[in-house]
Amino acid sequence: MARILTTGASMQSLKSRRGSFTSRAPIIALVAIPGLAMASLGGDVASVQADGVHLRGALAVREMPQYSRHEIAQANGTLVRQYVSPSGQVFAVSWQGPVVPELKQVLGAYFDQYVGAAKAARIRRAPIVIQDASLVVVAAGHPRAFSGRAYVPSLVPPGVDPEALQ
Amino acid sequence: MSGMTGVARAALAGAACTALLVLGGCGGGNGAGGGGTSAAVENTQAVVVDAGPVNVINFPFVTVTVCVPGNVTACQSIDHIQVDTGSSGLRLLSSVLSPALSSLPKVSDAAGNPIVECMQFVDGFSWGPVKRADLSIGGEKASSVPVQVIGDPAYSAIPSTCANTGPPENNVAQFGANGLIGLSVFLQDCGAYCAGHSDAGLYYACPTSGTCIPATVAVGDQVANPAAMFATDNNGVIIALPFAPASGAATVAGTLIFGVGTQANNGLGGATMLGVDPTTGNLQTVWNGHVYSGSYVDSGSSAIYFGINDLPPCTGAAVGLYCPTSTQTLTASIRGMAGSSSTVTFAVANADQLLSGDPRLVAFPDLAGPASDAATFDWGLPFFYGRRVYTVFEGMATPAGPGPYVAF
Repeated sequence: MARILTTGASMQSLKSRRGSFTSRAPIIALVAIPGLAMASLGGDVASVQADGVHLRGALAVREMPQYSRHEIAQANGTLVRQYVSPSGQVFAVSWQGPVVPELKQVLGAYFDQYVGAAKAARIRRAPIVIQDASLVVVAAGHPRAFSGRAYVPSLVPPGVDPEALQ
Repeated sequence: MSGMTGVARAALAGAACTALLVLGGCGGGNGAGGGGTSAAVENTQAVVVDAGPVNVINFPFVTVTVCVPGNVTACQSIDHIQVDTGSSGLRLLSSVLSPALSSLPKVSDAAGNPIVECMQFVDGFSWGPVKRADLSIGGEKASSVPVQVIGDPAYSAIPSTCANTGPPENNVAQFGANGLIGLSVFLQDCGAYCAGHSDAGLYYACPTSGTCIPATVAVGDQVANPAAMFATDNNGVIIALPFAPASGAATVAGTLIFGVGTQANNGLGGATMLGVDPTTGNLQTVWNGHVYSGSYVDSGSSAIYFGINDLPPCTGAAVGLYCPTSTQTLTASIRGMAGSSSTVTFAVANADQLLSGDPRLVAFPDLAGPASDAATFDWGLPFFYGRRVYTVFEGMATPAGPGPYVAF
């Protein structure tokens, strides 16, 4: 995934990216909702409106054959995506952009496990990688170009490759 | 750590600077000149890769002298400042600062509220106020540099929007160093965006500790790449490290050189220039038939990170790194924005074996590990051993063209 999202030209970049989505697949919702929250990893998509912590930005939902992708483009250029199974659970998330989003909101109940793994690492200043049977998290990058993704293997819908989510 | 000897060292630095003043060196103010040849300024500083304050692996350190702006008697020499080409700005851990630096002036917003930063690194965040300091390193000086003081007890209440981004790195044990000197291609840690928008999550205005709100901060008040503020030799830096033995070393001694093409010791020579993305600092690496679009040359990363379990993962002391049964010699191509490229060969050894040996060994040239995504190729400190790696700052002129670029 190219790190084309930037601070200075973020909105322009996002528009061009969204445009390409439009040409490839139907978007059933594309609205700017300042302050709209998103559900976190392992959570229920129905809890979106109830979330107290906000990732401000424009929301786009794209229906895929085996899941739906909810995407929030923060004004600061960071893009957060959540992948929702047909049963309505967020089975994967990803982020990419100049700043790290509020990962406690994005990772939900898994945030503490993420922090614990980072603290336990013998090698410092390194990407954070968790590859457990119950959780996979990868966070990499540097200031102005961060990226990461996470999924819960037990929640991944049948037939979906969590390593190949777009 | 710094302590008593720091005073003596600062006095020596001051004496050296007085001598250089006679020759026209030791510039004061925020010089904006670039490029031109400058005689007599000592533009080098020793770099050491050693265990540091908390037994870290592959951290390059320098000693810097920090003074209260305009006050040459209120100074401190601080050792084990990590050299990081992946970020910008000087950051000091509050706990290592002597009383002499307690009066560093705060950077405040228009209403007089102190500016406090939530700096983000890949493995955590650091919280603390922005203050101004005079900096001396080698013979180079920069005045009134906005720096971050991390873990300042006067601002111990961390906003949830900061704490929620990841693990805290607010003391020496968590941070791994007494501070960090960020010498990336960028002139500030945020830049124009944070001057106009408060939602990047980096800067807050804090009337009191615990009542912080997101704030915009003028570019000139943002934590700044200090090497770009020197009066001379301010267009870039070179990190020159010797080869390190594959089995590891307890200490590797190298040199941090300021300026590119400004003195006899910092010419580009035969180095290949690779332009980096002016918004991310990234370039591309091609390895094993795959293009890694998020690649970067980062002295602040402890190993080379690439691939998704392309080599066997470690299971022992070096979990998170690669552990091939025998050392693998690999070749990759690093591509710049303008299409130029450079082929590099690097080795990946069994990190479990290396890190379970003599605990005094902390400098390893053959450490690599998975980044576990399809875009990241992080050329960390192992890449720097045996090379002169140039980092040229954005918008700065050099004899070979303007930054931002890297070269080696």
